[in-house]
Amino acid sequence: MKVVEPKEYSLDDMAMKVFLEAINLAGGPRKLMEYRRLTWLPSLMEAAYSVVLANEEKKSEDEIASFLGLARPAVRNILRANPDEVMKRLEGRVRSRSHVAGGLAKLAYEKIKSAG
Amino acid sequence: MESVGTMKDLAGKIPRLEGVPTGVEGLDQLFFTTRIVDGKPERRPLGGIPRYSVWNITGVADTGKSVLVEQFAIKQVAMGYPCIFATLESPAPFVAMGLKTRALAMGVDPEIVEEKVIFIDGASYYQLRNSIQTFLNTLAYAIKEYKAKAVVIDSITGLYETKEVFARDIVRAVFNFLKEWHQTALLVSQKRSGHEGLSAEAAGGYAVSHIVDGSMVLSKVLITTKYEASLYRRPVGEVVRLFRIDGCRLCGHDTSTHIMEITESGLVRIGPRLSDVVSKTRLEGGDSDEGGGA
Repeated sequence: MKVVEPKEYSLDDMAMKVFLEAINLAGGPRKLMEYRRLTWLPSLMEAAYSVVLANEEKKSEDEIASFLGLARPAVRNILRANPDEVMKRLEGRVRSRSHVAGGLAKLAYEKIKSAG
Repeated sequence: MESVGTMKDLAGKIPRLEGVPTGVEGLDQLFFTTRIVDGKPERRPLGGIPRYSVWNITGVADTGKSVLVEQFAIKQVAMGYPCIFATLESPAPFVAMGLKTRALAMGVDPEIVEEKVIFIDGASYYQLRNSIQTFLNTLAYAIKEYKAKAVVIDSITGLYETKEVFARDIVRAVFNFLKEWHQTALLVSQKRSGHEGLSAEAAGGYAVSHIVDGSMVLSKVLITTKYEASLYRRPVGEVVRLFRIDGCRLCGHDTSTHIMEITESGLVRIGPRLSDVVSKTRLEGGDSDEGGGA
């Protein structure tokens, strides 16, 4: 009898890819420093994990909240963020209440997936 | 391949329609193709389920779903093709025990089953049930490593047991994966108590049946009245199992409800059409429309 050992999926690798891509979308690390936006980074990491867990692993808001130690509404805000609005806000074109880190992480994830 | 294109762009990628024998007596002849001969349609048996098709095998408990997919796995390995058996219900050693017994009943050397059935044991490894990507990574490794052509998942419901609202997303991911890897696959899905017995509905609603290429529905009727006893030609207290194919995207198929039997040697086989059994009963005057209790 042959039993295949599980080949673990690396959630951390994918979350890191999304995190780095999101930083690029926000203008790159130098821009983040110039505009004093470094405080975003913990939120961006949480958003990257949330987006990957929801899209890749089909996890519910409750499961993601429990995994990341966040409140469910926080996860919901991340997953419901509007990426277009967030980009416009970063460009200073609109005032949006959409979750910035969530929007960036979603956009970054889409970009990674469409690139294959 | 671009997301927009003509059929010409797909040249060389369109699979040939051919049957894969299932190892279930009476099932293979229910699939066919039709061609026009002298202006008239003529049915040609396919000899099995279409190659590269992905199936939903659904039914309530004890209808023969697992036996059916086990026979399929045994048939594949008997023909020389490794088959991946992903078990999410019973641990692999117990499934292996059943497979060996059934192999003997099918006249297949159990050694071949031991050699060519490759297990993914989601019942024993929690991470396979908890992470769809880990499950698919493992499946990809197994298909590549053992050059498998067929996959059985018993049951796909095990991947969304406590969150049926995600059934559609999860089944879609599994279906796309199986198509990408050119596998012929049977996915067992459980029914819930409120589901109509002979419908393709299963845990997660119609998610599974809408996404896959076709459904096979297994059902059972407990004979409790004289009327049912005479109609089904079985004594009161016995169980009659029923089988129907609920759609197939890739080829023609029999649409009738059939009697399904589990033989003494523990194999399932598809029997006559239920309509034929009932007509025969009526011709022999074996039933009345009075109904009545037992």
